[in-house]
Amino acid sequence: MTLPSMFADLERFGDKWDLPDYNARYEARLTSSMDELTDFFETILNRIDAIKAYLDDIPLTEYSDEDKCLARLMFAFGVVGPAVEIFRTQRVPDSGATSFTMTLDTDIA
Amino acid sequence: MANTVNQNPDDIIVAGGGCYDQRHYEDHPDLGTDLISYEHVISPASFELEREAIFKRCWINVGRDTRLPKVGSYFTKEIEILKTSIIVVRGRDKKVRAFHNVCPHRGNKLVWEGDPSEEKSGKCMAFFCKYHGLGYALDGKMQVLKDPDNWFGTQGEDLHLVEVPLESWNGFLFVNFTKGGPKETLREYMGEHIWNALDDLPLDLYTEHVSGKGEINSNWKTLHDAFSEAWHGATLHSEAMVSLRNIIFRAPPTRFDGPHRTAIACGTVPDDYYSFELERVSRSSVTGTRIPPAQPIEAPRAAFNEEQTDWVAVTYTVFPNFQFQVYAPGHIMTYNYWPLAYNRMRFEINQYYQAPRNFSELFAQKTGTAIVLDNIYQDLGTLEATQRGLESCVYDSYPLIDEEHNIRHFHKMVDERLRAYQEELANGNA
Repeated sequence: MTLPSMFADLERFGDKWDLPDYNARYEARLTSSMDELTDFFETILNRIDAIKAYLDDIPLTEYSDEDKCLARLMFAFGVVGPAVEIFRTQRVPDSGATSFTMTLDTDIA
Repeated sequence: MANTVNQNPDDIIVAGGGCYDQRHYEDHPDLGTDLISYEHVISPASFELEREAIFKRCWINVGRDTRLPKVGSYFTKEIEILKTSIIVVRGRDKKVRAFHNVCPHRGNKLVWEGDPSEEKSGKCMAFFCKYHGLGYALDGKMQVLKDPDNWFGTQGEDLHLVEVPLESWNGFLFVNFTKGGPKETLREYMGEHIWNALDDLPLDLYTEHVSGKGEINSNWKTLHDAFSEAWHGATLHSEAMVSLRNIIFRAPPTRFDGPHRTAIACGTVPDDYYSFELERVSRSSVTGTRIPPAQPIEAPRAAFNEEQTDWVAVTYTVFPNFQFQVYAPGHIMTYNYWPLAYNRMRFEINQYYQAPRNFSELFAQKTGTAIVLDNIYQDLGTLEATQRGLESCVYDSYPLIDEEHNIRHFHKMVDERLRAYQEELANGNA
């Protein structure tokens, strides 16, 4: 994974979090340790203003591959957030018997 | 950064338009205040009755026409309680039609792939049966007859798909399986209030679509009930929805139109109020994005009996198993509750957004969806526990608080229809 140069320090998250859709992101949330989730969440949170400012400056239809990688990290951050901030565990509590799948999930092309 | 996050829900003072003190039972005395029975939630016999008394008589939503953008676009829909599957397709004349998904030659399911119980969508100019290769045009007529000399008389060329009556409500497609044809149009079925309720919504702008489904070991009505009162939010979702605690957990009066209803959650979320960091940085919450879209939604006018400017969501419930929700400032959600057995159901959720104008808007939409789904996991997780509890038959009736009056109404509508059908059976008229 390659990110825009000013965010190159976030490339260490690429193997785990450069994922194509919600289903893959939620699955990665379930299979990560809380330490991993917290590290990812807090690191992105600390850079979020710069990331949003950078991506907001580019029309959505003109993203480079690097920009798309960065956007996908942000979408993963959105899926990881509740596990870190609300539930303090990977799986939504008491949802053990629940199966739910997104069947249509528009993402950044 | 963290000091902008408000952790104390009591800090919110919300204008409620004077609606929070309303006693629903006074508005709807016909609903009564008695304990209610959930017999039709735990009884296999009731499931069989619901097939005939409800699902073969009501208009049933099967999706939105934006899934069919071109001539030949189609999707299949499994309707297990009716033991059937339908094909919904846009014809050469641009018209959307529905057909039973069965080849009339040997009864093979016509359109499927991999697993015959799975739904399929795509685009084609004719439907070919996998079994003997017979082809049907987009209007259901026989198009490609294999080995034409080998059929008796016109038995081959007379093979056509069976059409299912279909009507559209602002692009949301409903089908009807009533024996002999629908007894009323979709408009008559819904009533003028709901039929006209979306007139001011800029639905054409809602081009962004996400969809998901899950199966749960509970009766379909149990999830309907969960999504028909907001009272549980203060407990079940207390962590995830803390920013809304003072806003949506007292509902204004519901408007009932026959078995259908319009319910409003009112209040305002202060712009600078967030209950956790993700909400703040994404500007989203369990009510979806908090960034007004290109064309913000005005409160759907038809929803309000009186002047009401502060609103969070309006929910239109179309009996029996469809809910359409508009959230301020601007996204739309629909729920479909599909019965699979008396104690098993499939839940389908669709979310629609206006096209994001920049990354921040896209990020708010996607994070809003993620937060909504975490809350839905909580809702779905509880259902099996409810089903198990009800099936233990420890109690034969249960109280509902005033806040749960939508559930009281819904179960009354179900009971009335089951009873009417049983009377027809007894009189030999069914």
